[in-house]
Amino acid sequence: MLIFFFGTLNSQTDQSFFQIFSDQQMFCFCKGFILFLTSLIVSSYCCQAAIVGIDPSLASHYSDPKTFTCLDNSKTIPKSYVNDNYCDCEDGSDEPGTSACPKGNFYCHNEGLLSKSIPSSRVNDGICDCCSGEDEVSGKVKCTNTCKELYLDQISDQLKEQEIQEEGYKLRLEIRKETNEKKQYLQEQIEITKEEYEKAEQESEKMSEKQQVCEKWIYAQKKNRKKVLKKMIQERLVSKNMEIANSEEKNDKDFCFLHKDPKIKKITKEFKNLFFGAAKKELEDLKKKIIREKSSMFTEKRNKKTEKEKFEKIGDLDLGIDNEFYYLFDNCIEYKENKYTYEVCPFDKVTQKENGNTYKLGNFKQWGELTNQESDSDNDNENENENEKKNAKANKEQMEFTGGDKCWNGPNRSTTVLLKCGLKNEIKNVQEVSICKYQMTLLTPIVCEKPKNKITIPDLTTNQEKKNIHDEL
Amino acid sequence: MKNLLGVAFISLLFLALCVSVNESTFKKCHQSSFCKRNRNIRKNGRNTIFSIDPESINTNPKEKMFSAVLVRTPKPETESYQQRLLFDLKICSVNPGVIRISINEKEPGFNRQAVGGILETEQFNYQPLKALTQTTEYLLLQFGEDDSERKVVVKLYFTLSWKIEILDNDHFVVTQLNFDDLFNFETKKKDLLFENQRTKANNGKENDRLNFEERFQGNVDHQPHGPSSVALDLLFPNTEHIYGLPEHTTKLSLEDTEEGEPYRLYNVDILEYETESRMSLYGSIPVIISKPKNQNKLHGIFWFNPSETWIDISSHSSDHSDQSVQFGDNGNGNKNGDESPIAKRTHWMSETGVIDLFIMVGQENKMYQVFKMYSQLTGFPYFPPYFSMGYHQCRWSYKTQNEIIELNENFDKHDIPVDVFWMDIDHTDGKKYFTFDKKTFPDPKFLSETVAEKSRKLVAIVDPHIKRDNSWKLYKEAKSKNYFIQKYNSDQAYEGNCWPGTSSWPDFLNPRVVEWWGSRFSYDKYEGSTNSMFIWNDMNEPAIFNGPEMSIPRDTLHLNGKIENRAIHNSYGYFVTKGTFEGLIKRNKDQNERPFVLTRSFFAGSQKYSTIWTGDNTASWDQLKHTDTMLVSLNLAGAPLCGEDAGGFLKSPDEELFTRWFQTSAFHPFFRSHSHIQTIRREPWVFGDPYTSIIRKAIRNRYSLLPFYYTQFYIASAKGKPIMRPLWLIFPGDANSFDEEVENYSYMIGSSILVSPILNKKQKNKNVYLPKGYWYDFETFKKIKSKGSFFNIDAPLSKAPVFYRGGKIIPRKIRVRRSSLLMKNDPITLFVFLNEKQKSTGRVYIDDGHSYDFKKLNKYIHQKIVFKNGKLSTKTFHSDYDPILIDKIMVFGLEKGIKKVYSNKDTNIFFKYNQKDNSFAIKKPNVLIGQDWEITVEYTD
Repeated sequence: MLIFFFGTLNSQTDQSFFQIFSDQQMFCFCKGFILFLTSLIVSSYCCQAAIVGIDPSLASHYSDPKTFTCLDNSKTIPKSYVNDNYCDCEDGSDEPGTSACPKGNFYCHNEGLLSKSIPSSRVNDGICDCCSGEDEVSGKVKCTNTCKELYLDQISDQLKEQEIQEEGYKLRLEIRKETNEKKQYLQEQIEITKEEYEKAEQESEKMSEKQQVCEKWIYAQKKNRKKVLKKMIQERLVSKNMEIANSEEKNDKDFCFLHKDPKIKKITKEFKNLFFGAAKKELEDLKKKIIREKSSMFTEKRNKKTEKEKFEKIGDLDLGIDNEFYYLFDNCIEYKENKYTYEVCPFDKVTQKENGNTYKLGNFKQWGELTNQESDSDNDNENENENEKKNAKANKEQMEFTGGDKCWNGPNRSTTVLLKCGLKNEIKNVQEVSICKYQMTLLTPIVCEKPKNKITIPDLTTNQEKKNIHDEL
Repeated sequence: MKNLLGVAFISLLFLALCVSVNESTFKKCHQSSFCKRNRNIRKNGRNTIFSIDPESINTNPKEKMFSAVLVRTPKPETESYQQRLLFDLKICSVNPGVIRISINEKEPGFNRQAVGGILETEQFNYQPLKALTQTTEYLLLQFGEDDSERKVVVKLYFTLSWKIEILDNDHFVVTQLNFDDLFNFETKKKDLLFENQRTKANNGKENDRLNFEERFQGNVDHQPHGPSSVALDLLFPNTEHIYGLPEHTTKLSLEDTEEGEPYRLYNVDILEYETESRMSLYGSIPVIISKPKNQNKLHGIFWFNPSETWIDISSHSSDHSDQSVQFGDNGNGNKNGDESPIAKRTHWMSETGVIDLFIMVGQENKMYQVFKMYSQLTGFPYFPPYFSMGYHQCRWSYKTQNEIIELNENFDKHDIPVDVFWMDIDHTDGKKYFTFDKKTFPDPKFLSETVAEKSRKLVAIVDPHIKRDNSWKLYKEAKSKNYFIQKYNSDQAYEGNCWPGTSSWPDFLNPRVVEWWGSRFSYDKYEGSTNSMFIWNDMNEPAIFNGPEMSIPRDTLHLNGKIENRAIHNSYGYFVTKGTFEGLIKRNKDQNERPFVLTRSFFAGSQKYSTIWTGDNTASWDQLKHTDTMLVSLNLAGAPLCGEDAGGFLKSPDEELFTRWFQTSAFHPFFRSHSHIQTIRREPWVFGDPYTSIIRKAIRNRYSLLPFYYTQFYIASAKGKPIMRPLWLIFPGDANSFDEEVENYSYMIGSSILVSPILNKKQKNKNVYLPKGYWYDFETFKKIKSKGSFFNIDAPLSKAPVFYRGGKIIPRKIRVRRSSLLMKNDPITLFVFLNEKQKSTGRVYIDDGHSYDFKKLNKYIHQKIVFKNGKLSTKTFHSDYDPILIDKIMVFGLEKGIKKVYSNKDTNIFFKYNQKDNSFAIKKPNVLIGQDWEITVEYTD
């Protein structure tokens, strides 16, 4: 026995370890031997589950009745050191059931329903972390077993979720039909709007030319009339001056004061009326008409341009299978929280309204996550092609909006919109995750998936069934 | 919390122009008339003389008080008609080694005596007084029993201008008063009234110069009592270094100010404060600690005057003044062999009040005595509850209770321990403190209970500005009871602008107001508060957005007009925390729970009631570099419970700065991260890995050290000892420890852990000074034998240079849990670091962590553990609390092999040698903290 023991401990180079065993000598070993035999019988008879806190998948590592080798293979220790509330292995593997090791883990079996691993530091700290309460055995706290309730809650949540997914997926298929039908239409629209825009552009150019000609003419008219007017006034003045000169009021010969002469004033007024009354109105009306026409032409052109760009943009966008995401186009969704009103217009922009002030929280940038580089420099042209490629593959559960209004003492506002399955388009929540960086969850049927494995309501009445469910899961 | 960036809402233009502190908002010495006048005296001399009237001397041993009259007369050569004025000079020793010198007008023109309620007068233990020698030139007074080692001798010179010298028991000069003849005691109004009478007698005309006022930045300060400043010079002979005068951002060793501005003490809220500046900040402690050269002792000066105070400092060669000490047989007590010893001159100038000066005289080799003497004067630091030594998470603001609940979960998700979540101003209903916003915090009790499930706590902000809102009961009550500070020349409440808009400020100088304020914290009045919610007093300078220098006008009135704010300004924040502290005690029926209070503004004595943080710092390397120094300075001025906003409050740190900041902050007595509303968040995980892992490690290390920290906090509260110490406090004989780099960029926690953090961007190694002895790397336990030299230490981002000191035993808890209280019953691991003599000592203090049972019922354990001659044994000072198991003892630096380990209980204890860190681990020694035991380590031959 003695030899055997030393043999198994060969991997341990620690001298003091041997020291102890040789010091303790026979007394210890007699006692130890009996204990050892008993434990051997007990442990072989009983089950491995006697070791608290081990992950069943690692059970084989703990099966040796005499020794245990730390999972990182750093050392081998006597089996009695396992779960002795003292940390021997640096990786914490010798204390799966106590809080002794800083890096250890405790496995909650939770009756096979919701098994999970928790950090060792949560063992016996007075808080029930396993729904079974198996992490709290010190008696500090009495845990009630909540596994069944939790499990049922979870299942019922999953069922609800599944229902929504199913329902939503149906909607999605319908939407797809519609959007698919629009595929042709959209293609055409790109062409049509392009043509229309070009036409409008040509017309507006023509109009510009026409306007120029008109304006020149009007200008010439005006100038001409001014000339005539000037001449006439001068002529009349001269004659008038002569009258004045001939009159008795010689003292005031200063020509400059002539215009103050009431008589002369009267003459000037007459001429002004003659040339700038009706005639003037006529010219101005003409001008106004031209401007009106031009501006309507411009509006037309602008509208056509927007229209064209819109369809071009749609053409460039990755709208998924059967153009399904076209469904979110022109479909702005509002959300009110306290004093704020948020509006998400997918593929366009996000805004926030507060007391009549509107802040832009970002313009649509792309599908999927931004890389650091992108968020650092919004106008990086070099990577544009790459971005497009990435866009094609990007996940369609996240939209990035960047380059919104600048924050005081901070960056430009930006928003991430997460798309989650829902039966209608609505915003579920808005968070400011970091300074001027927003995150919103948008519920929409367009991301609902066909449930893969159908969940059914389990019957938890017998252990056997529990086990079955666990296996299924 | 926040600084005036919040004023953005009020004054965008002002802020747009502001890149850093707007210096013009705050007074310079030349803009402060009394500072200018007193500085002028230094330059140009003056026309009066103050001398001791030898006839007036009264040395009454019964009263333990010396008194004399100072007579002010015009200088003979000047043509001054100033009247002869009399002043009372009083000298006594209020405690062993502590001399109090006070000077006031014999017949004061107005109430100059400042405030009660700061000094621990009831604890004073007046020392006997004896006149030793009296000649025509001087008088020697001895304070203290003849056979006491703490006798202090006061030498009064009957020179034309009075002079006083303080001598310690070794006959060294501690300090010299008025040797530069800068003593001043302005009585301008009285003088003018006198002149009026005289001139009226001469020409029958009134002098109308009695309407005193001073203007600054468009504000008029009415001074009905006229210029009334007091000033004095104190010389520290044979002294190269003086410390103290927090709160400033200069180097630890106080610098000469002749070339620029004096150090200023005037509590204000300051926008983006600068480093290396002598401008005033949020708090003031008029204390200087002097370290005489070649002596292992510290002396202290406490200038007890809460009005605005400027201090000029200059260096002189000591022979500039008469150093000879004619005392007993010893003759000249200067044993110093240096040829040209240096002296420090300090020139103190206060706007009003009296001279009330405490000189704390230390003994050789008792470096901590000065802190005890100071604490006996103004109070020992409070002993905050255990949880407050954990990590605190704050932001302006966590806007909803759900956000905090989420935070609570996220810390667990990231496996980072945390103890406290903070609620900044937005949790209130319209910035009406003592309330919760019903929309965002609909159920604060539920919030309290939720975080309490993990034994975590909440802290709510309660600022002293009270919204003027007639529909608010609290305001109406304060108004009807006349509890507000009043406007100049009026009994109406002063109105100013702060977070809630127009506000008024309770007059905390009035003890009834303090009590009323405290009563607001009772659970029934403060709806939503619970016993796991604690309090944060911010903006208590007080900060006022539209006030002069962002604070309250000096001519506002306290105590129903009895005293101007000018006279007490720097103590306002102190009285706010007093009210809060006492209220938190009284809110529990048994009055037995220890409060936690955080304050931004402070004065001498604040340590009794509150933890201090350094206000609205900025996320910059430069500020990080000055943080440790600011905190050490507070520690040296009797306020060891302090910390800063880890990560910086204003602006956003990058990942490197954020990580480095946590590496030092995790060692500070108060450890909280906080951030401005318009900067990035500061939760430990914001930057992801590797940063999160490094920060997690730093926080977890702090938690594993909590038994050690708790013991340090206890010692601080019992003895007044600093927690964060400059190296020279422990190694006063080591000249290198006074080196500027060493003194400012490394510190000790207690006398056991040396922290030398990385404070520069991209720095990956550091020249760390290790005083003579053994030092052990904080993580690898690798031993360094130092002869007192610099070592180049690798410091990749994941590691800051931190060392355990050989000769110290550190109690730790290696089972780091989600919060400090969850670790309460966990076993302790003793880390024994041996010195070159193969010895080590340490202390452990344990109590329930939250109540006064340790004081009232003596329910605590205080034990010393010593390793000596191969024996680890205990010395139990007191043990009346649940003992804690020691699960492991790690011995580092043993220079022999171990044959056997046994104790008085077990004949054989398992141990193991670990080659990796060269340590011996003694497994399950089966002994308890709180019991006496002895473990013997038998060495191999």
